[in-house]
Amino acid sequence: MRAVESDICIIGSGITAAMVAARLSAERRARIVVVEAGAEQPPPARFFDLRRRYLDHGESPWPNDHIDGLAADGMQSRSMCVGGMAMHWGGVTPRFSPEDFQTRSACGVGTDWPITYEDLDPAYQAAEELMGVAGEQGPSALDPRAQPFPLPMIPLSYNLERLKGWTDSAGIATWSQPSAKLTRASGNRGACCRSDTCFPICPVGAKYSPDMTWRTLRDRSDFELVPMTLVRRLRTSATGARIEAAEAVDRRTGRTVEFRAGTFVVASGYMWSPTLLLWSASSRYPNGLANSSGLVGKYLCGHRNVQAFIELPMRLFPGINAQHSLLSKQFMRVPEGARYIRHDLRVWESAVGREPRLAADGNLLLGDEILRDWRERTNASTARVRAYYDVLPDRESSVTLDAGRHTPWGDPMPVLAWRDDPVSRDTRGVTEEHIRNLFSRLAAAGGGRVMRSGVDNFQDHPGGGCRMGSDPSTSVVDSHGRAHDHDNLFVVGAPTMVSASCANGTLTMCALALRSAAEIGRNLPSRS
Amino acid sequence: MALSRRSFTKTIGALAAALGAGARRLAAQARSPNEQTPTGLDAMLVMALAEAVLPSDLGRDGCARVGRDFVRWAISHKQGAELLHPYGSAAISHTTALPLAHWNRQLRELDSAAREATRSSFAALGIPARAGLVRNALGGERISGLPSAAAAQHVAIALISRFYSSPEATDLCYQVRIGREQCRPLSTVSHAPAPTYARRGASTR
Repeated sequence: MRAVESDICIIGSGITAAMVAARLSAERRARIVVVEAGAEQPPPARFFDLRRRYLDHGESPWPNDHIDGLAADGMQSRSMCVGGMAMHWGGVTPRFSPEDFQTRSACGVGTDWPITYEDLDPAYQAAEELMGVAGEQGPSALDPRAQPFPLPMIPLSYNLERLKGWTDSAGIATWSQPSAKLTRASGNRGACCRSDTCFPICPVGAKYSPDMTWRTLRDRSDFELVPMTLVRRLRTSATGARIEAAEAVDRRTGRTVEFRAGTFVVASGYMWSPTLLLWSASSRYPNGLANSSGLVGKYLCGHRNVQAFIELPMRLFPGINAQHSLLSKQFMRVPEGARYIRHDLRVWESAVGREPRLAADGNLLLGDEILRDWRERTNASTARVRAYYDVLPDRESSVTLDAGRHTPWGDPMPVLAWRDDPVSRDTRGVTEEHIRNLFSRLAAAGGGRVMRSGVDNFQDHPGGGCRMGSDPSTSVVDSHGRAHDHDNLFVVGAPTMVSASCANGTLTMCALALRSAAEIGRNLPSRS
Repeated sequence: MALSRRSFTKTIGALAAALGAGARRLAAQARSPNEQTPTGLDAMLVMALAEAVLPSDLGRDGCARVGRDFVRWAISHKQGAELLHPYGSAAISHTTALPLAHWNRQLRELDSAAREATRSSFAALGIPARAGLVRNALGGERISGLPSAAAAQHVAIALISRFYSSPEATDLCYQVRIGREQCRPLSTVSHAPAPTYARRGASTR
């Protein structure tokens, strides 16, 4: 059996693991080992070619970014690789709103976080600086921040300028969506060149992805990233108070590897983090580790969305910077006395309904006819609008283990069940109707019409499963991600979230991870 | 008796002179007449098809270029490559083989139909006549939107789809230089795209 010793053992190599490792490596003298179940991903030298093949053939730029046999029921993405899901994220980085952290005290629903927006603000700023976030300051009442964005905003495209005029006319304040995309080149990273493929691959490194951090850290002698190695169990000391080892299997050889460390950091996302704690059940902890509350795997959170395509009588030119959008947080604040309905709003240019086609009125088009038909339909334009709306998590929104299904290594597979808490269940219909009405109002303000709208039923940007709190009987970890039950065990990022707001969650997950890193490193020697 | 490559090209060139400008140009552009690519696609027939189904704004050179791009694209297609995961889904799917046998048969059928009707090859016909044959061939297809080129059941639709999914087609439609999917400075993003001018065969690619 191979044994690997370190001060800090981080399980998972996704974006929150990268935040923790980057912060600790910069500030503390410590040996850090990162264990990743998945495989290495291609180096930047191949990004242009991978992007070309994606554009030409639809191929994934990240082939084999998952592990066969680990597709759980209810999961949304199978990405499990060095860099994790953020190898193909869109790079969108809104902060949550202050209200998100205090829904119970402010609105009488959900559960308050043990921290406020102001508590998290410095970590938000640190995450934005680490990733290189470009943003525009929104109205300070809706979008407060103590310091300016690290980088100038991504300028609005010609199309977005015109769409902003439209939303202004409807009385809705919108601004440039903050994004982890460099607007100025830095180091090995190029500036955004609006190549339109942020998702799934940025060819110039303008968009932050965790592989950037891993490439930097791998040059250091006190850092090691161990890929293709699946941690199957955390083992406690004789007293049970501390974690002494992570038992893993090397997927290449099938051999056992044991990781011993002073501190263990579980950074394995909303599903695999609670799964690992549940897999680690023992005679002392028959319900799994860190689970005296019985809440490991509970309170999974996310948000749904309503989106629409709106035809507008203006001429836009789709493709100028197609993945960039306008953002509004105007609807993330519930008016006093109003029903609990919260959502964000984003607006994109779109080509939907204006694509070339092969037939009109049942007649085949060829040659100049296709082009003529297409041109005639581009005098009007399409805007895509989407609102993520708050879904408060129910206790039974959960990850549990399925005794009837096993991984290739014999461990029970996780199974996901998504449940809205009663308030969200009761308000789902009116919330979606409210958003559709908003879209109709927007369309009317622009002299346009809603072409079509729909709801994505899955819960996006999932989190929870090891939620944070001050009370060990109602939470799994404290506000720094430290397990209430084991003082050298941290869970970081998405699993610790109490709720998922109504905006993309990655920046918040990163900020939480950096806040955890500060606590993890507190007793380690400083580099300075 | 087998002709040498040079004499074969010369013979085809003479034939082309008798049959019209389209064939002359095609004979000149093909590295050798009826060249078979690794996909089995007949490059000259593909180019003749491109002229029949793509917009005339592309001009002859533009159509030839799009035809060559189509053949290159077909050659570079791999079966069994992992497709991009759909957003919000754990499904994994893979590319399938292109229906090259169908596409080759369809090209040959267009050529046969031309020879039956006019005693000339498909490539030697004028563009309206070629388009007419394509219309006949597509008569049985259920036509609506453009499928992806790889999923097209007819080679003509595959070629049309490949072209119309390109940034070049977008610029041609809007008659401005949007440059979709191309790396270009962020500093000019707020400007309206510069107009293109109707130059035959103009390319922004």
